[in-house]
Amino acid sequence: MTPEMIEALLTEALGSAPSAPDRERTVALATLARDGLDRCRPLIDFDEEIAGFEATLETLGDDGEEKA
Amino acid sequence: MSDPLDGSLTAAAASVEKGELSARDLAEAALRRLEEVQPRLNIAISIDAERALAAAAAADGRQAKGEPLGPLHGIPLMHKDMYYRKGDVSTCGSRIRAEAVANVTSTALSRLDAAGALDLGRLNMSEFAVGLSGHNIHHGDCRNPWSPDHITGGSSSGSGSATAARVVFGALGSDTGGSIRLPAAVNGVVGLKPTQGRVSRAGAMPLAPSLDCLGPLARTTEDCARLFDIIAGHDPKDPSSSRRKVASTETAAREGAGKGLQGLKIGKPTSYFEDALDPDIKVAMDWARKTLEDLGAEIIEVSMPELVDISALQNVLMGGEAASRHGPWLKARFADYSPQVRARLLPGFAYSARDWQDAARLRPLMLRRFARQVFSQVDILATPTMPISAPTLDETRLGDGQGMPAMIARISHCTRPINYLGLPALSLPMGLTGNGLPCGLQLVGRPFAEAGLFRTGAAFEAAIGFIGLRPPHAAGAALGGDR
Repeated sequence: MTPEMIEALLTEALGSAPSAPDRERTVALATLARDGLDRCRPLIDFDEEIAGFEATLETLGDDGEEKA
Repeated sequence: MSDPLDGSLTAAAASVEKGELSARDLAEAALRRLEEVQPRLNIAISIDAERALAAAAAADGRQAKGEPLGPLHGIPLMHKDMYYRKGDVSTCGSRIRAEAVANVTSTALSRLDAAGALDLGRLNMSEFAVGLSGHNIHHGDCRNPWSPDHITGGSSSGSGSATAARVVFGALGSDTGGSIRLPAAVNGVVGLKPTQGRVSRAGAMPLAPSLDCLGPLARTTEDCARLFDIIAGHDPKDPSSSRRKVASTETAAREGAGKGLQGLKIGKPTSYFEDALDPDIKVAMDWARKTLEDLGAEIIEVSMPELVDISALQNVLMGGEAASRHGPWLKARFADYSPQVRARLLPGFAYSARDWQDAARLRPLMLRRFARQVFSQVDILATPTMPISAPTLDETRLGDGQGMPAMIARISHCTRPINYLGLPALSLPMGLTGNGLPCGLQLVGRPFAEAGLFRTGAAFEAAIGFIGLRPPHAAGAALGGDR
């Protein structure tokens, strides 16, 4: 997402253009987080198991090991 | 006789049960202490003395009639100002909600009520629970009873300060990135972030529901465990709450106190949590691990999975969810937010639906990797709660300035990834740093392993004797204290 796209999203969300410091800080923070996300994306498997996060907590909760 | 508010919750509850103290005695004492410390610590946002005294009188009446008593009968508590009670205002630490009257009572409060607790009012907090230092430009900064110039930690600032200041025996807080554990650490009390889903969030202010956890702060592990046991467990009003049975963590804490830790494997992270610790924190951590080892635990070095990226994933989830909640107000009432809270909410608008979904899909995968890498080797991971000694309010009064993001990242370095992983974590005191402020040990366990954390924490607590230390600016200062 480019800085211009982020500025457009902020403008839409706030109803007016963000201040320069707000825009710059938001771009920097969002880019940092999205970079981390991008590094992790290759781990996602298209055919991942359907169990969600809560189910995974429950599964791992018995003794710390995944059930067969 | 010493003031019962200087002792433990469980001891006071036992005294009430035996008739040595009345609920009214405790309520009056707590209200006196609140009146004493409020001008210097600014812990409360609202105080309801009349209701607390009426509830105390009713509690004493029930006891006189021989009715069964709950485990918190006559115990004065106060809670973060985001726990709703029907008909009362909950400001959520904000200007925007300054007159918002709740139309429900939170499940956690209802359970404490049913256990006999007295509710004295609402405590200071960071605006909308977005803040880790305890600053609040709307209601005034909350102050630390160890040193009013230093931060209380946030966002459950008043919960940490009021408990440490001996005004109440404990308080509820909330934790989305460290907001129970950080105030617990900096104020020298015990705080539990439960497993995600262990405690119902119904009737409490949401920040980022997939990460929000409600939990207790108290001065001892046993007190904290009692409060947790009462609020934990499934609630139909929060369908995401776990149906798993809740073991008595209070029993675990009581059994752990004074006992050894033989057979327990405790992990020492070789990276991330050990990165760039303040020298004082490193010394305290080394000493804490030595103490755990002396108690019989085996300390094992464990390498960490990709926690820097986990913090990024936490930011995406929290940002997207918080932006969704706050979108309408950010558009209509931008100026009513503090600059720092605004600045921290805005990145949430820069994440796409795909970003949020990917961060959510990665969550079970990351949890499995973490569990495989860490909990295949150890039972509990021991880390600092905060990697730095408590800074001053002035040092962290950064608003939305350039140094703010780095300061937030530094303070929450050790706590934030745990929320993404959904794991339970207990923060308890591990001593004082060179500036005279407490620092915290964070024990992280497997999902739903709160009892093990309390058992281990109680053994550590008994070994180090921190409970006897009294903050210099606590209530009852005229007593002199035993610092």
